Amino acid sequence: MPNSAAAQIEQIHSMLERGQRSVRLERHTLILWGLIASSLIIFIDLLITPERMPILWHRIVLSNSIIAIVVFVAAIWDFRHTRQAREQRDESVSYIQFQLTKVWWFILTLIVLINLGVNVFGGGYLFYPILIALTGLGFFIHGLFSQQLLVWNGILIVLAGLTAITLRIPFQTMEWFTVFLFGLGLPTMAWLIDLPVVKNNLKQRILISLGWLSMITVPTWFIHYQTNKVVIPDWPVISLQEYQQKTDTGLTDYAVKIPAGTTIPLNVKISSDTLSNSGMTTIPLTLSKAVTVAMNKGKADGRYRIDEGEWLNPRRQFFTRKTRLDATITVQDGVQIDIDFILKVFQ
Amino acid sequence: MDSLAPLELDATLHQPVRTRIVAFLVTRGEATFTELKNELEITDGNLESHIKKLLAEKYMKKQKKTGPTKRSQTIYTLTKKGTDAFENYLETLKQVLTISF
Repeated sequence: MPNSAAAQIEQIHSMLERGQRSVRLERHTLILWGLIASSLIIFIDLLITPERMPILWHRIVLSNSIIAIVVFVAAIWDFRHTRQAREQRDESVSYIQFQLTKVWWFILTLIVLINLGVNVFGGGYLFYPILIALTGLGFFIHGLFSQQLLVWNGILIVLAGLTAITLRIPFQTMEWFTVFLFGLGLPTMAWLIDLPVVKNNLKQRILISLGWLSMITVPTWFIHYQTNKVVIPDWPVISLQEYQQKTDTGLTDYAVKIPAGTTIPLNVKISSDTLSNSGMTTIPLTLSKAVTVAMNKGKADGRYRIDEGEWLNPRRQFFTRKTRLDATITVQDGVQIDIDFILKVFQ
Repeated sequence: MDSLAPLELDATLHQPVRTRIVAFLVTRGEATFTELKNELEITDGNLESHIKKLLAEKYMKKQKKTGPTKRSQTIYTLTKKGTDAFENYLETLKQVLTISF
């Protein structure tokens, strides 16, 4: 009797878990959203360019409208197609499945709104890490009621998004990571989730998840490496004085070395709704390290090196960060505004 | 066994297949015949007989649904009576184990 009772309880536990984890993520859903998201990322940038549409808000309205419409149509199609597929297999759409669909729709709405928000208010460099982290969160939540692999991959995707923010991975690299995650990762996941080995073996599940992540990161790293690879200019290096004395600056290719200690005027133009500015303000800055810039037919082509370091790509350039903005009023100084900026040049 | 005599296990639920059907429906909420068959890995005839028993005891109910394909589906869910019976059954099972060890 006790053995029989223990066996019964074990069976009950097993069936309770199977009931809870019975929400299957359909293969067509993963393939559909993978292809749609990667296509949107690639084609929106190709189609809506400043050359074709010079006014910024026109571009914002058009790109966000396309994204919202495509996502809405895809969500409806996916919902209907999932129900049809279930009916054809004589399976039901459970209550938990409906709740999970709501979670996904909520995440999709958030992504569309965040995209609109960064277009209007700035901070676009954070968009892809946030998109990735939210997608990972969606998979994690879905995985709790579905295939275990989704939980693992969800955690990995969230970690990838957080790592991108922490390591300040360049925008273009994150864009490619996102394209590979959706375009390659999701269709592959559609194939992986129902493999018996993934369902039954923890070690192999971990290995497969890591292999899956590598499949996304390796091509991303390759593209990152290729696009950031700098062809070292094998050109004569001249001094700033020599450059300034040149009369034929555009006839040959050369590099100009700007020595440490050179004063560089930083021209600042600030617009404000409550303050007016008579024009451009110039702040003299002093170079603390020598910088050599490549001059292609008389124009700086963006490649540079600091001191005797390696040549760097123009894509990396600078980033700025405002650390303080204070308006004060004191007896001694009257009214003044203090602003601190950090300007970091990638080296 | 004598010490267990006062504990009465629900005869309808104290059958492995029926226990598994009810346990699955407790967390799944609802299921079709095909889903139950796939989960339990038993024959149609076997499953049908157990479903009949659970329906007769009013532990389970069935309803017809029609979705986008217009194909009629029979969906099985637990009744309040079935859920309560399952909870009581679990309690009794735990008591059996406690007394035994």
